[in-house]
Amino acid sequence: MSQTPASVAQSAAALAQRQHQITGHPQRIEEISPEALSGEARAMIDAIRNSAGAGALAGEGAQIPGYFLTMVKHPELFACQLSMGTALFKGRIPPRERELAILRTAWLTRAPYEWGQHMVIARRNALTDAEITRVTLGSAAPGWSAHEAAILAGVEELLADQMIGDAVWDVLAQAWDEAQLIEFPMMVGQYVATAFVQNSLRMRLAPGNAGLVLP
Amino acid sequence: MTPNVIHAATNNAERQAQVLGDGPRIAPMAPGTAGEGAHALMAQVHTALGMGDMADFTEDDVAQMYRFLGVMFHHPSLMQRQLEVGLELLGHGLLPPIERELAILRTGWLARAPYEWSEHVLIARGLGLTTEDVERVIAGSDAPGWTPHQRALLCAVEQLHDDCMIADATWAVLAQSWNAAQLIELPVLVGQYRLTAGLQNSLRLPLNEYSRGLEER
Repeated sequence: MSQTPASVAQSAAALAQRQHQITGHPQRIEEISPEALSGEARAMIDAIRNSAGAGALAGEGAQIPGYFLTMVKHPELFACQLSMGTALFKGRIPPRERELAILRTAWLTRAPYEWGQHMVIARRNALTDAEITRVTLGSAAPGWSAHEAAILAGVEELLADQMIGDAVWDVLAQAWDEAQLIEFPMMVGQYVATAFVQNSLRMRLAPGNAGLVLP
Repeated sequence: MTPNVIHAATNNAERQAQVLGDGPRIAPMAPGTAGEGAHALMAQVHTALGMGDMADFTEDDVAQMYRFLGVMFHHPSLMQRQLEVGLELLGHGLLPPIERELAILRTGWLARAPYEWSEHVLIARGLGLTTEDVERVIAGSDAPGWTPHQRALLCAVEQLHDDCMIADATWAVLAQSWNAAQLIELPVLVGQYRLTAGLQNSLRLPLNEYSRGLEER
């Protein structure tokens, strides 16, 4: 179907180098203090956490991820991003398939924060560590169903050619309806955008986020 | 590093034929079948973009508007979010409009996205950019004639395309004239138009009748 980009290095040294490139320096824009967060912003954070199966922030003293405390410096876009993220978590694509696509996106964008966060979310949605490792090998790796291979290939094509090719589209269209076919490139695009932002801000990894490593 | 497919060997006509193929993969819902909620969203778009009263629109105008949005009606909840982001960036964004359009054009060009490219060339021309400016966007950040700030802006788009991250030297130049919220907005903006390019290309969205696609200048 599609080619796995040869330029994506797999070695531990290459991963460490990429992670250092991004998180080896201070964040470029510092976060606000948690006390400065409005009740409205807190409610939006709770909504996306609930939709991702992470549970609402526990009380006043709860640790709020630094990503939210940074993005809220642009309150209007922050609201849009959280709203889109929540809609995708509650979207038409089954959670396991969604997380396959997001992990492949995070891996190809070499995004430590996104990859680490979604390893955690993927495990909550029935992906095994062996499967997460296989995501790094891509659509050509043995063991995927035809539909799963097409999901991974669709991500690879969107990243490499900004378009899903006919062969992949045809396989996806056998299992998905029109709304799901629309959701898929939007979801990949949304997580590419998130990788752009988190990488460019040099987002510090949150507690429990292992970064750009194999499980 | 992300695969960097520049399509050096693919000329505009070949790319356009590849993307547009033999027509849209998902047909737009016709005006009138999309329901009340869809019409309310359309009215919101009209108001935000200052397009006047929908009652004054001809059948052709409406059909044109529904070309992309009519497809999105198949997934109303995501369509609404997509519109919210789009209206925020276009209607209330913090980047000066010409800088915004330079970033979108460079994104659309690198994504080889006929629909996005041509629509935003027309928007940029409406803001006063010339044919020469548009050609210089195609040449990229290395082309002579940009201010240091404009060059950094285009460079940021190129770095996001190639490496999914804005590099230090580029960031430093942008941070001389932009505040924190504007610096956050740039990768969100580029990401949003990258999303739109991947979506419209994958849908094989047909060009509007007036559009020359990747040949638009």
